Amino acid sequence: MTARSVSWTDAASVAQLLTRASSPRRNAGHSFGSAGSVALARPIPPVAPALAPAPVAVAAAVVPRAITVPPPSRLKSQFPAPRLVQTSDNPSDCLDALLAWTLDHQRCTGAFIADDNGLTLAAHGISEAHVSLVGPLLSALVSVRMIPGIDATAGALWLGDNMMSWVETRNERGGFCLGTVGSEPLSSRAFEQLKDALEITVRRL
Amino acid sequence: MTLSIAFTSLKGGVGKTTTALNCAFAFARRGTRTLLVDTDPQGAIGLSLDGVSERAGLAASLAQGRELPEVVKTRLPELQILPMGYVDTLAIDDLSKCARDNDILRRILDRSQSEYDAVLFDTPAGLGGMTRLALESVESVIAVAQCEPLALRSLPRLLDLLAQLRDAGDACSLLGVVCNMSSFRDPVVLASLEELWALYRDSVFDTAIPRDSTFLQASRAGVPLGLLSRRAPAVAAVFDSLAAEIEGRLGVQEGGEDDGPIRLVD
Amino acid sequence: MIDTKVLDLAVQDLRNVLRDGLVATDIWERTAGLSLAGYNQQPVAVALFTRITTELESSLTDSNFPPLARYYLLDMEGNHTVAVVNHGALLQGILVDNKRANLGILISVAIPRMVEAVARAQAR
Repeated sequence: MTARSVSWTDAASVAQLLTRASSPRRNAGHSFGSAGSVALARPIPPVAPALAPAPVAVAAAVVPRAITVPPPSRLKSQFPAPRLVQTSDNPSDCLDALLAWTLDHQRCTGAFIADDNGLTLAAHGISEAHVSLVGPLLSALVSVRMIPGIDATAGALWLGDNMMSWVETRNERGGFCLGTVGSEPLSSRAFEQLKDALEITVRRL
Repeated sequence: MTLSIAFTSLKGGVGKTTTALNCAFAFARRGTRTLLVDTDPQGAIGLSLDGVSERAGLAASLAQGRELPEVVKTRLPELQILPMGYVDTLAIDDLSKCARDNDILRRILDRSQSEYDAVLFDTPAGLGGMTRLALESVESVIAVAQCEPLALRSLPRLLDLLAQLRDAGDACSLLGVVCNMSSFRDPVVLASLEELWALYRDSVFDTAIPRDSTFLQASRAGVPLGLLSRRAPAVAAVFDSLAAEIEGRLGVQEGGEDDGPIRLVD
Repeated sequence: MIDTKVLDLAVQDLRNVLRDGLVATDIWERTAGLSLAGYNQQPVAVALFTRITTELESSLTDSNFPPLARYYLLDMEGNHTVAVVNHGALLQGILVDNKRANLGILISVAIPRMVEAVARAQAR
């Protein structure tokens, strides 16, 4: 039987740890429900992430594929996606990052970025033919947007077994659209996130 | 000033949840307005209490971007619970990041300043994720140590993390080590206990929680020990003792400044 | 006066946007055929596309069609696409490998950026 201690440690190192890990005991005198209890003022230490922030993935040159039998949707987190952070000034990098963010954090099998003519800027998991549907859709929405109070900068359309969802934004150079393809509709929250991510990206184009 | 206490351990299965739950019950029975917060993605508090697991909690609040979650009231007016609620198995890793981004534990503590005297956090096993976030948020940490070799060997790791967090400016401090599942019958358990006392000295709470089959009965019933029957089982008194010891270490004067002996016969 | 430094920066920006999809580009003064900035410039292309653009514009006008706006595209054999951008007094040719360059980015991002940059250069 080993003569080593049960804890495999020694008193000196434990004592040192205890000194560093503990505060002096308080004297009695504090009671609950003291009048005018003060909100605890504690220094807020810098929040160091437990993990290094995940780098925004820059996808390699994407090759659009025609939709045949879409693979099962990747199970995405039930928690809100982290806000997209664009770190590059290069438009191609920004578009790739937006695409990667969308595929990582939204419930979809494919995603695309197109201009308002339906011309693909970046895509994954969706054919250009499908992306080009966006052009006439957005054109049709122009007159809808003239109705006061109607935003119409987002929408969804069933394409057979799949749902294509998109959000749109414009800058001085024109309109841009971020879309997804998946087996289920997106939530309102997802639409908001997509819109936000697209606007963040389009500012850099 | 609201006390904030996290019950934590590196090793799993040492009895953190049982200790936190029964301590919260004991605090509440002593008249301390107590909030028990479950930070375990597995929803351990919900699994321990009948009628809680199906309630929405922290996870739903984070997922839906809502304001702070609603608490669950209990039979004791002084005890309320904030469960974790359902977490997608594949989203467990994202939970702590989302909780950190939303600073939810500090917000809970801020809200609790006017409503509770004590906020107790049950944490998951390990020292990362939600446990780390809880440690960064609280003032006091109770290490729950099962009386067996592996738990004993992992205790320095917890202390090391606390030390590092304190060096970085966090307020957390080890309040003490509570010895769980103690037994004087098994030589290995006894050796572990003796070594725990020898190494951690005054840090170890005088109150040790014994190994007792009543705990299993309470788990099965989904109730704290004190509600297992009309006459609470004898072992439930252990948590009254532990709660008093915790208050003593925190410098809480029972009953307030005007407290004192009350004549039995006028 | 045209600020050629701005033109050089614009060409650099175009190279960054299109990366290895950009084969060559040239910005030239239409009347004199004088190249002002570029990458992998082709003097023969300057002469050719000046002539093609002039023919196109006059044909459109003669046929009562709307005039040429910002650009026209030619799909060439060998995976090449040429975009000729109309900057008014200046013309720009952009030759891309359309297997490497995304045409959406060319049309919706690169060309509008060039149009703005050259306008700035001409405004000085």
